[in-house]
Amino acid sequence: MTDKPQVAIYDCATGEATIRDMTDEETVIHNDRLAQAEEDNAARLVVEAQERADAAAGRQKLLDLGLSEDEVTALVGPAPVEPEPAPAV
Amino acid sequence: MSDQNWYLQSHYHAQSNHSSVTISNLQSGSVTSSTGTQTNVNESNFPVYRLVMKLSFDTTNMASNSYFWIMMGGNQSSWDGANIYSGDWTTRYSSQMYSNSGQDQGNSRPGIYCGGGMFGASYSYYAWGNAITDSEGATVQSYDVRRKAYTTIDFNTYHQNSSWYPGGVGSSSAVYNGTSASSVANQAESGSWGFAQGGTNNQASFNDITISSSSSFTGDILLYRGGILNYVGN
Repeated sequence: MTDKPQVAIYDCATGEATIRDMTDEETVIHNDRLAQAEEDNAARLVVEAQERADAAAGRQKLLDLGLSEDEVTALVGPAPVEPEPAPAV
Repeated sequence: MSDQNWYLQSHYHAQSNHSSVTISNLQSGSVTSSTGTQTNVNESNFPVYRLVMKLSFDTTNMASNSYFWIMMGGNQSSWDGANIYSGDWTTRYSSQMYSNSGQDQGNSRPGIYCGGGMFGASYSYYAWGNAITDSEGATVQSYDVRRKAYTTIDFNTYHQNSSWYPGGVGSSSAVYNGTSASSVANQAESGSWGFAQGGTNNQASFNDITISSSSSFTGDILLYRGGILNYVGN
């Protein structure tokens, strides 16, 4: 066992499992996916921030029309809030 | 008990940290009914794939810079319309009941990427990083399996058309980490998630399933196959 990421292959034909180090080629793919995940996550955060902004703007327009907070909540749900990620330790 | 259509094809227990698990040679072997009739395990007889996993990820946070892939066949361009997170993927939605879908259509992935639907295993704010004493007085190290949370995943595909990759649907759930005792709203890394994928090309057959993640994981991976008839004896 090394510090390299471990890869397991379970063969349904034999019922045998093999555990080995991740190869250099697999490491490249692994790192590409990490970068893609980071990119996707950043894009998702942008979309969600815009959705919250749109929801808040729409909610304010309803309030400006004279509806109460409770009435707006009954119509469109609670005010959007920014999620807080779990703190790393 | 009468014969049944479900067959547990593999159960892999990842005792140590893994980055990837491949289940290979899926179209192999046979099952036997209670009358002794043998049926080959192949896509025609067992077109349904059901992955049930209980995994613990070696991280406190899976939401950023993380991936979790389920690849069936693993070929680029095999899947599209993947990455659909259903509405309740954070607790804010569980209190509001409003949806938030993220689609990935047009990118032709080799599998489904659902990293946001997994939860880091380490309980933050539970003296994480330090040894604690359990109720019986025993010391429990921070890396002890008892200190870790699990994400459970249930993912299914079905070959309804022999000429195309199947669609797939799944869900995952994970525990809340307990950082906010008075309210669990607005926490990104807890709750339940839904995800789905669609096939994009005309290769119906695959021989392996690979589950891989940016964060090492331990736990159990079970693969069930669903048959078109009750082939499996007890």
